[in-house]
Amino acid sequence: MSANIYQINNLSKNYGKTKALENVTLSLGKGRIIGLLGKNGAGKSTLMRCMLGFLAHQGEVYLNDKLLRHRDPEVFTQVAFIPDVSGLDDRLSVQQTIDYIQGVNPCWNEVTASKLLSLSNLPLKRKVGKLSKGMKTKLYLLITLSLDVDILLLDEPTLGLDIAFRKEFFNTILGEFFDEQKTIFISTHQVEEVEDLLQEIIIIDNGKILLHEEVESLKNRYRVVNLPIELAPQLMVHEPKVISKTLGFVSAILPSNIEIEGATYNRANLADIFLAVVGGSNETV
Amino acid sequence: MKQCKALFKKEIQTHWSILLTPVWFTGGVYVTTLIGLIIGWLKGSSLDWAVSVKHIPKGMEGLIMYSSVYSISLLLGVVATITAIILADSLINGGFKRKCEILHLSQPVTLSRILGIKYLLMVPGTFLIFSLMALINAFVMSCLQIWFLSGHFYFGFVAWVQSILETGFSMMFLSSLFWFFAALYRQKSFFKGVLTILGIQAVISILNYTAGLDIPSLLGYIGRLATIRFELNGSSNPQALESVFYLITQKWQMLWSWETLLKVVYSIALFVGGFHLYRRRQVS
Repeated sequence: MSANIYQINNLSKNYGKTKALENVTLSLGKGRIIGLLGKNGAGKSTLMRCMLGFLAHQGEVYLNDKLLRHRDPEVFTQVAFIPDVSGLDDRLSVQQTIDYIQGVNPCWNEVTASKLLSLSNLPLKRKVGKLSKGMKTKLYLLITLSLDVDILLLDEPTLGLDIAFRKEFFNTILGEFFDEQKTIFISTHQVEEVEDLLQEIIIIDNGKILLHEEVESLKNRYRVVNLPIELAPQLMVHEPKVISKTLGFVSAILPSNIEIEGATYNRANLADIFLAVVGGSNETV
Repeated sequence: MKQCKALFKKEIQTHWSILLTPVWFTGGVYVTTLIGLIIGWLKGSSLDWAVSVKHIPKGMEGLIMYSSVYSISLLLGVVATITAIILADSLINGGFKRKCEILHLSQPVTLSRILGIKYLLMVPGTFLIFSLMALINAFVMSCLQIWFLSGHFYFGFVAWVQSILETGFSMMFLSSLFWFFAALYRQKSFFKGVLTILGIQAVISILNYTAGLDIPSLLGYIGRLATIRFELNGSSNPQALESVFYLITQKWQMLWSWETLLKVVYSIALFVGGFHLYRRRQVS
């Protein structure tokens, strides 16, 4: 068995004439926390759904060296998936939801579930539809983290949650799920929140993988260059994708090997690097 | 087994209000009747209907009991069939419409198990509720008739068995047809299904008219399989039609026919067709 838990070869997916994914080739290793960054419509969700067998596609997806087929439920003996946390069944109560997952999923771990339940203060008799978004998050985490699986796929899981719940969400996942044998693959817009968690980063744009690298090496490869505004032409020579101007200074993200006279340098964060690689508006990250 | 139990329980928990439509309907009829009787009694009216049944000719009690129980069961059968058709769409597309489909499909359960349980709830589940309600109705109707007129439970019981079987096969066929359409269309499957049938029928009619073909009517055939029919052959002996035993025998012959077998075969084919369409769906 290889060290890669997921191996994706030449994965392509079209929606009519629109290319959602184009020849994506990726390897995801065991015991890693990997972030998937991309603008809206870049192909993040499509990639995740192909990795779960939800979408028919061209190319191959291997999970633990086994070729994944379309709509093969076997994948869920190894993978747990959290899309938007609102995706619970509103018709069931909290207790019914827990009982249902416990009944259908053989990976259910009763000890973990009891522990998480005692910490959550969830109202067991209340219908899911009447829970607050924060409570729904706790319930989704409970039913997912109580599964003994090797991989956790998170597709924009904290969309619409306030900052307190977003922090709690990621802290719970780290505390209750992650160890060196398990892999977490997160697609998110809130780069700042996961920046400290991630070990690897994948940047996707227009269905193509632009970058797949260790976070530390990436941060070393790029830096923020600040220059007085009158020296801006020296910056423009290097054709940065995004430039920002503030208080008589101009700044851009450039590869660390570029030296400009009179410039000051700062360590870049992931959001900066994302913009430097993809370009475009800061609103998307 | 544990998975099947959990799936079945979940389907009941999420669809119990639709599933119990025949119960709500029966309960509604009883409550309305009871309120009517109480209002009538408070206004000092006599129960004329109970008196008038005494004018019925002797020897017709069995026929009356049989036909009244049969008719009431058929009426309830229509409600049960509508229930099963609503269930077809709700069971197949409910998760998608409520944006919780991914939660249910992210579990290690085979699609055959998921859909098998859904179909089990739609056809045998609705049939069971309908049969129980029809049995209660048959019992109440038979008791009332024996009390006010005379007669024997046998006729009420046979009418119950025959009516639930006949309605059950039609319900199975119709709900399976809309199961197929629910798997084909995620949104508004009932209307799109009806439009599909009408569209095919229009093409058949145009072909028959323009090319002089003689393709049988699809709509007519579906209608024939979906509806309950009384085709009693009394030409040789018209008086035989008055015999309840003759009616019962004729009905048994109609029930154990090729047409009934075809309803079952078509239902299985439509279930399998729906299964394959559902399996090919993209989940996003």
